[in-house]
Amino acid sequence: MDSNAQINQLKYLLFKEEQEATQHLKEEIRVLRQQINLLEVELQKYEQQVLKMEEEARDPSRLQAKVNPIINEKIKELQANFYDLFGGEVKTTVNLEIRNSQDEFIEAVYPIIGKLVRRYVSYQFELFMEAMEEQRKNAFSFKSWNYRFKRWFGKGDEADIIEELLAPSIEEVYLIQKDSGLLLGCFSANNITDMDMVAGMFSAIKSSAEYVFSKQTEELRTIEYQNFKVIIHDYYKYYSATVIDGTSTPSFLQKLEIILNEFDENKMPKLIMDVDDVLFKQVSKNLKKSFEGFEKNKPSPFTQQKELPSK
Amino acid sequence: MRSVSKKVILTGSFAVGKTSLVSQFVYRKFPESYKTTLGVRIDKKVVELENVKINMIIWDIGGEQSQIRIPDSYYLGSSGVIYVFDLSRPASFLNMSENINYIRQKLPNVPIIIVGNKIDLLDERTFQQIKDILPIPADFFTSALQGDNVENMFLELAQQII
Repeated sequence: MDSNAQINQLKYLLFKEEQEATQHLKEEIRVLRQQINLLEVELQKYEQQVLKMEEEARDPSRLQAKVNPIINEKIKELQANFYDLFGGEVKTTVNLEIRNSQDEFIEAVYPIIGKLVRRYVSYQFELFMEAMEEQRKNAFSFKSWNYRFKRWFGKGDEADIIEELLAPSIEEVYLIQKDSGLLLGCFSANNITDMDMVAGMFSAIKSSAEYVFSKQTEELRTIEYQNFKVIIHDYYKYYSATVIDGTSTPSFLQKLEIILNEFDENKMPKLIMDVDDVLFKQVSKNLKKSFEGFEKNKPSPFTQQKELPSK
Repeated sequence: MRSVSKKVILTGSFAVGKTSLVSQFVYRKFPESYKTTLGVRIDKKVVELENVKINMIIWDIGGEQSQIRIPDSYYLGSSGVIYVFDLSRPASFLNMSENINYIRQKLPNVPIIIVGNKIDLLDERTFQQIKDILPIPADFFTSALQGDNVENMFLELAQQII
């Protein structure tokens, strides 16, 4: 073995560990360089994406096109899961707010409830008065029998005859769509040609009265004209206007209300898309069935001629 | 033929000829004397289109300088609006943009027809000058007195409603 080979052998023996460490470090450096290169490529990609996004952000239409689908999807998701996400919190908040604002709540509701109570008490009082009157009449039943005898022998009691003449009768019933004032159906004991216009006029009067006098917190209940009275009943999407001839009594009004409520519940279409002749015929036919018993032929104030000649 | 009822409102400043337009359309007659409309006046005209009859219930609303003074309930349920101004009286169309915007807010998806009435009172030159200064271009120029364009205007609205 020559001297060089011996030196190398000696070096190997002396620096074996250092050489191995150097080799290991070289390998690590190589791996790190590779990683750095990869990261640089990634970085370039991201830089390009950022530049693209900046351009898109500067152009609102492109930004909208990108963002809108995401927002819409999130809104749909929120709508679908609103109750699960916030239902409990909303309920708790509303309950808490109502509890904390009891005074304000009562302040807001009181006028409406007050009016309802007042109307109910006054109505019940009228019923009570009518019952008392009935009792009084029964107490003097001789008069009643006397009247009957007189009637049998051709002699009538004037007061009773007048009372009979003044007995209320239903002349017309209009069912009118609330918003538009369009006529949904009609029952009439007379031949009225312009029922649509009458319905429109009722709506105009109702709207004006509610706007001028009570700012829509209370609804118009009656319109009086000569011996005729128009009784208005409000329902969810429509109202009824019943033209009565004669003096209405609470029991008569109660009977009318029962018929109208029953009609609303069982015979009135719940969904109205278009006010057309098919709907009108159907509603009017049903209305006639409900009110046939009330028919009485007397001229109505709404059959009068208008100022301008009819077309 | 199917028949459908539709509510149409006629609005605009006072004395622009709204009632006269209705009278000409419904009764083919021009009222001899002027009577201001108090509140609202209801009229009816059946218009026949190709496949459908439209029962036009026309709410002729008493003239107000501003639409804000008109009860909201008059607008409710309307299927069409005719906004009338007087071509011979600039005060009747000065606030037109605000009024039309207000109506559009109340009735977002309802056709509105803008009508310049009393064209018979203007000569050709004045008419062109007035046309140039209108805040919003009119859809129709009418004469309720002579009946010019009145029928067309209502028929156009009927078409747009359907």
